[in-house]
Amino acid sequence: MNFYELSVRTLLSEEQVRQFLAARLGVDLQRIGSEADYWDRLKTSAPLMLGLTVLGADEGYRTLVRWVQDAELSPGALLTLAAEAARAFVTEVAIADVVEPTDFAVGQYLIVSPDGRVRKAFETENSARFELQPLPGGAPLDDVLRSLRQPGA
Amino acid sequence: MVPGGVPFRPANPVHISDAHSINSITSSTRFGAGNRTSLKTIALGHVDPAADIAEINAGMATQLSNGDILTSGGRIYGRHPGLDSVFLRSGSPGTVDLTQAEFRVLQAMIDAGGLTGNARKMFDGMRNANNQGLSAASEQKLLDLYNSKRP
Repeated sequence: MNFYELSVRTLLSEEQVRQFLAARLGVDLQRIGSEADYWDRLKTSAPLMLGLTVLGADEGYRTLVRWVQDAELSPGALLTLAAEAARAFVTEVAIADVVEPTDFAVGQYLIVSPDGRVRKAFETENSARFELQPLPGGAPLDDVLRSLRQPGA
Repeated sequence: MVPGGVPFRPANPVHISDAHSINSITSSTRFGAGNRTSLKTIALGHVDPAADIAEINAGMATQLSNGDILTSGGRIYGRHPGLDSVFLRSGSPGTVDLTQAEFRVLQAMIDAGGLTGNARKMFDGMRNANNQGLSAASEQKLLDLYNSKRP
């Protein structure tokens, strides 16, 4: 099983997130439940495909989308999903840095803008409030995805 | 001062996010690693990263040859390139490293008040599924970390 996180700048409802993930990941809505239900039903005849938690905050990146699923998403697939979320909800979406992953979580992220621009960023707050400091520059999504497909990437 | 180290006084005050201490982690804290096998370094409850940061900003710490910063307590901080932020390095005294699976259980423990309720359900579910992020040592490590949390 695999754990994933998306941090969304605006506040989304759990239903918006469920609909989005179901459509983008090709999962039946009936097979998306809470993380607790996911573990409950793991060894039953009707397991969930995705256990979802959506948390809201008053400031910073206001929606945390966190889920567990059996299927593994490649770095490119997760980055593409973040870009689709940024476009669909017209907001910035942050994920952990899948382009230059590190052995330890050091607070290194990628921010995807609705126009598809990808910037590297580092966390400044990561508790009740989540905030990032982006580095200057950035690159178009297609260029970043191309770099992930390079041999050795 | 350790061999190879030089006194370090930052040009601007450095700061650290609240993601690396059991005392400040919440259910909203992101694990934040782009590799599914990455680990996250967490300070036990008796460690005060803010005191280390104050020491660094007072010019009392040591810069190692690789650019990392060593404090008098033996903890080592890495630096985010081009920024004034730092992060806690693995292996520092008073820290443990968690997998993403262990970190999720820890967050559930914080919500549940221990390894009970949904936290226990999650832990047992992962273990029954042979999740590679859990080991034989995971339960005790999580309990020790959780129990070190300041009230």
